[in-house]
Amino acid sequence: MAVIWCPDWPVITWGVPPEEPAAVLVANRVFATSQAARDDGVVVGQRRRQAQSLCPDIAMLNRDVDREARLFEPVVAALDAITPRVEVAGPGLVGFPTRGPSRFFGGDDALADHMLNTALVAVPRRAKARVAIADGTFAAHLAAKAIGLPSTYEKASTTVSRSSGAVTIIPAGGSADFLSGINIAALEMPALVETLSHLGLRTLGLFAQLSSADVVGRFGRDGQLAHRLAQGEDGYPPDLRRPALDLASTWTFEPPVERIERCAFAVKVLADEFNQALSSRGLACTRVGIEAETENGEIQKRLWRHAGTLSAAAVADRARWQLDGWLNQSAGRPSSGILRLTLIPDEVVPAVGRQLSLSGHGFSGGGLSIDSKAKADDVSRVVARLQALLGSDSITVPEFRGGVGPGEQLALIPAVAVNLAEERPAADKKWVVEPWPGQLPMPSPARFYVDPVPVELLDANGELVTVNARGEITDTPFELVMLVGHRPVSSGTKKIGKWAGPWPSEQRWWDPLTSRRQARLQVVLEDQSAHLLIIERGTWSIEATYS
Amino acid sequence: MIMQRTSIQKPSLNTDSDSSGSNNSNAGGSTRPSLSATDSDLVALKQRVASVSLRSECYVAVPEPLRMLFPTGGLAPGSSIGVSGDGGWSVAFSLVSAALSPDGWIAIVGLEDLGLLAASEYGIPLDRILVIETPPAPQFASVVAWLIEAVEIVCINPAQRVKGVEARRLSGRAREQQTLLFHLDGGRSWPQALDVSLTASTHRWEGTGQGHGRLQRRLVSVAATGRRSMARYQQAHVWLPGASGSIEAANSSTELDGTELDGTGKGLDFAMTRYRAPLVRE
Repeated sequence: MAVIWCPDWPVITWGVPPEEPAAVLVANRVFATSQAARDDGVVVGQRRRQAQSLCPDIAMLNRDVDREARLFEPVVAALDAITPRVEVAGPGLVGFPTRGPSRFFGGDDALADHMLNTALVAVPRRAKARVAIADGTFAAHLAAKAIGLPSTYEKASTTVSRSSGAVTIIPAGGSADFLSGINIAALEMPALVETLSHLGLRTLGLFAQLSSADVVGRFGRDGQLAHRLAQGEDGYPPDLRRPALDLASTWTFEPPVERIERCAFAVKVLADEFNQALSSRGLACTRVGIEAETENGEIQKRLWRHAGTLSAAAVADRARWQLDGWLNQSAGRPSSGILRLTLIPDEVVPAVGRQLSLSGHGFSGGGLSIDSKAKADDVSRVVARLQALLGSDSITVPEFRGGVGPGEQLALIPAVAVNLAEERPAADKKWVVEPWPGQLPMPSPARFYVDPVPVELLDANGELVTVNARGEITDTPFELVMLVGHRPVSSGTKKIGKWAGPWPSEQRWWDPLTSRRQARLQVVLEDQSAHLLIIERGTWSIEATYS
Repeated sequence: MIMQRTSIQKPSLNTDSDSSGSNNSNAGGSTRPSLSATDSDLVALKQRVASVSLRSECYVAVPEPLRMLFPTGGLAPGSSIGVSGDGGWSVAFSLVSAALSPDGWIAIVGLEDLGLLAASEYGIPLDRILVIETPPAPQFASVVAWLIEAVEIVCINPAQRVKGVEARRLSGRAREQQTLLFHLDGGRSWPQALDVSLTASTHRWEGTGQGHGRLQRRLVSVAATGRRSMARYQQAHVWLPGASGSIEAANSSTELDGTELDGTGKGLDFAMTRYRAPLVRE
């Protein structure tokens, strides 16, 4: 695999000379810097404020991906002369398989020189280009980025067959060796990298030495992917089967379009359709071919590669970049409008994990059937919409907690915090296995008042009835009187027909601040409505109704 | 939703094709083979027709003790059901529990005082319930509309009166999606007539004495009216909950003995007017 990498591409596309400090920001954090800014200590990932304090005259620029992609298009077009199988990984990074071209140009060395010359002609005046050739895409990308940074990749120099100026060539079979000295952070999987460095695996080489089975067992799919990369292989094992052509999706523009704005919607629809066709066959795309054809029969085809699988939005972005670059090129722009746009799945892998806006990590787990998963997916989507409408805490799901009172045995937790498509054992009654002393027996009341309704419980003589320290009721309750602001309500007096209890409970007796002593009483009033009364600190209230 | 075809057949259609088929084969026999071909065509046609079921023949299962309330044998898919009275919510729980399919979901909107523990005791799976806080009044209709798309059963208790146009739209959507809409306020805030109105009244609780025992079972009468096939007033007596914890049929001759069946069972209306979130929120 040969790659060309243009360092600081986001900064360069803004036309900033390297000697002027500048930084490109994404979400208020530094995404890319110019050489001058780096010299002042500005690094990727810093906050805007931090960068400004280090380098007061720094120019802060916002990232413009469309512009980056458009300006990169000439480089890709120039490489088309070397090989038809150019794969664009993103603005600033492009590669292709070397096997054929290398033989044609007479070896990797000659090929690399030729690539560099081709690229340098095409890039904007101040931009630089670096070329690297290695076995895998990951290794080649790292090798291109490693140029000029010998301190970071100490061991690198021992395995490289040629490292001069802007070219690095790693001989066949040497990728694993080259990678072994590189810091684990190069994987760009923050969570995994953190865990691995805590485990003492600070370089890719150490990680690669682990047995594959152990890695999968401990870290799952992400771990497997990272492990393959660390060994110098491609993240996804290449599937030599060529996907059937009927998975390609085509859109015909009528009339043909000449402005990118006019195809934006079509591109989005087409990408959705394309993704749908793949996912219905259980496939996901890692490399997509995008082919545009004009009215006059000019055809431009590009391959776009992605480290992971391409989502519908990612495919749409790439199609837009490609059309944008082609339509706005100074030289070689098409002579007429675009008539047809085709998306071709060039490399597919079995799709694992559901692509859902809600769950970032699509681990398929649990024992739910496919049908229930589909329904749970529908529910998750609606939940996502409602969260946008009402706020994320407004949609909740119940889970069992241990507790004495009927209202304490369940807790509502926000639906964002759980994966609805998986089994949730905490929502099963068997979740709480330990018995809770003082728990009320079944049936539970159907209606709760968390603002309990204050009442007075009177005996036949009009005296207040309470529960004493031994948990016994002081007298036979006779009447229930509703209170509003500590005063009885005239119509709120009801005779008590039958009653049962009390169920005393003492919670957190070990903590004087949060301890509570309560007792509950089931009463059936004369009109046969049943209620649950609760007394705390000598005050009765209706906690719930058996509706 | 569990759809079942009733055993009600369309007798005219079936007997007609049957008799004509047999007559033809008897009369024509081997001399007119073309007719026997028509015969087999007819049989095939009959089979194809048999798999088509009218909407009125589909229904959502209801608990056995309440089936006599429903002349068609169950609830029509997508219908709206109102429950009211003392014990009404328990009636709703038993209906929801029976109607829910093995992987269907339930949404509960604006019912912060609903006892989910009681719901689970009636067999409602708590791992497929969404609890949605009372939405602001202008958003109520859109929230319910979203939920109707995704879940099988929506339980609502609107805080304010729903506008006529919104109610019509929601009912139409529910019918289209075959989502049951339960009105736990008995449809008080709903401008339209509901398909089914159930009114429960408690006759007596059993299990408690004067300071001993516990609430065990309750005798409830459920009255049903509604629109179309539900227009006739029907009444059923059930134990809700029964000794087993779920709904049981009441044996009218012995168990109802000595019960005044016109009891009103109004309950503590005063208490109903002021309630709020019941559960511990984390």
